[in-house]
Amino acid sequence: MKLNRKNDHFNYILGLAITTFILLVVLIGFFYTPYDPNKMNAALKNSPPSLTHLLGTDNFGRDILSRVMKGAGTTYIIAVAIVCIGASLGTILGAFTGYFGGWLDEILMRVNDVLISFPSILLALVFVSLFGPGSYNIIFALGIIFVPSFARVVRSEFIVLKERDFIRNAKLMGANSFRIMFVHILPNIKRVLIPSLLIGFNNAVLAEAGLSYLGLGVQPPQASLGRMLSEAQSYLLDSPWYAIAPGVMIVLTVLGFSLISGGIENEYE
Amino acid sequence: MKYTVKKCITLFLSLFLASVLTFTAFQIIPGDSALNALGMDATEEQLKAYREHFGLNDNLPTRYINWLKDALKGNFGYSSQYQMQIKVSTLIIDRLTITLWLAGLSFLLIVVVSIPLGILSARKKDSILDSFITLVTQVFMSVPSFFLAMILTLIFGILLKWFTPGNYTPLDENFGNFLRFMIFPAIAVAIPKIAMMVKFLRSALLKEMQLDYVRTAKSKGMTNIRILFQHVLKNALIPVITFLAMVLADILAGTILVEQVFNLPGLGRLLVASIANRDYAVVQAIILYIVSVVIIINFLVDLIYQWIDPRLRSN
Repeated sequence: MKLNRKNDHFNYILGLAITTFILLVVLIGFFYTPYDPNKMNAALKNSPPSLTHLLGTDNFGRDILSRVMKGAGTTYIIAVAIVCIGASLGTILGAFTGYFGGWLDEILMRVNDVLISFPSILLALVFVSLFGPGSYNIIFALGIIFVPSFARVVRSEFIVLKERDFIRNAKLMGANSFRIMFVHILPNIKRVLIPSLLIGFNNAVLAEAGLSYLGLGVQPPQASLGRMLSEAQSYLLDSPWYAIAPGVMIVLTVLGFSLISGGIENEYE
Repeated sequence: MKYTVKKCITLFLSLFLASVLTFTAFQIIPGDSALNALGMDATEEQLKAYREHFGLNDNLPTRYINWLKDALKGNFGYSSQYQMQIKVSTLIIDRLTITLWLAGLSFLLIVVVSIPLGILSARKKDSILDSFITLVTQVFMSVPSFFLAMILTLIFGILLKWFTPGNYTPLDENFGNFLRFMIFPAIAVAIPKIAMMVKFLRSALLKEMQLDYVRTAKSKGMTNIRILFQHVLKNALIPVITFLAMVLADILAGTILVEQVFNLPGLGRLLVASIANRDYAVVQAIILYIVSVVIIINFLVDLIYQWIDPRLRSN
């Protein structure tokens, strides 16, 4: 058992290290990139990694490191926006249905169950086919699609917590339902909310990457990790480093966040 | 019996709702579908005839019923990206075989690889082997299947030359070559799910092993292996089946992306191409198809629960 705890802690630290590194790269990318990420250079097409271009260049001679830094930034902003929409709407919905129950709760939860059983990429494809491709549309689509998963987590916590003594006390003191829900219960669910925010962020990164890879998300010349992977695919033979850089960036992001989230879950257990 | 009847009613209700939603969702698309289908230089008469022919002047419920009647007969109209020359149903049936093979192969891989690994990991809990499996699963869970597909193409297609990227052989041409090509996309779809499944199975088994009946069995002198295979595995079956059903739905989604990487002419590529070409008849049909499959899988899983767990039968 002891070894296991040590192991978990090691995973948590590893996750923190990976995430700090990735976030630093992305943050720097907002202010400084080694080269202009969209500047083409015909003389340097598909050149392998070297000292001047650490991750090599792509088919237009653009610096891949700069593009990964900017592209990861785009992907992150989209993912954060998606999680914000999904988590805030989901929390409100989950709080109300969990706290008040009743027939509205029944109906919403049945709808939730149905929506959750469908893969998010499929639902996103339906949205995109109705409203057209583009970054704003996928933020909107995925944001809405992420609502049920947050609602479900928040609801189940609210159902348990509303019966607890400190909530009964608050009621006796005359606190109104709104205050009880958002001042007394909400702060107590952070042990489940934070991991689901992190996992939600991961799912959003993966969904953005998938949709942009299919050409339905971020549109060129803007770089995003998924977009870069789809461009890189035609050059897998000549310049494999082009695909590897954005791919590894996705893997590290998702790995870092899921290790942290696992660590937090263990911490509270 | 009551349980089965109840589940059947839910099944039909869900399928009905799914069809209503799929139908109405595509009615809110801006623009005139007659104009979309015939193009900008269609004359007013042609447009009128088109609307008349496809019943576009009827009200929404009538159109839904007509659409559903046709859909149940397998008639989804014609595909606009093929200049209304090819039936939607023909297109889908053509592509479906490939996607089903891909999904089937990946599912097989997932079950065959992850169940032994999960059991091993739980049995050797906290050993070096367990830590190693846990770390590897954690990494593979973070790899998007389409990136994995690219890496597989790079390693096995370009470097090792075990298959030629993009050189897909149809099933009826040469089965051996078909399978040799298909195994790589199947691996790409399966690996992240295998990782998820191993992690899930490990924790499900460990949770089960902490229960009282395991301690009782131990105190009666049963060996650990016998406890695991005779008692724990059976009891862990329900969560595992729930998880596998979810995986099955995920596989369908995974194939959409992986087909793109391997240039497989499957349902997923047809869907993406149809979205890009605004071929709504095809999109609608594929969505309805996949949604129905997911609903039916969930229904079957509910029936399986009842079969495994007698407690559900009495309630």
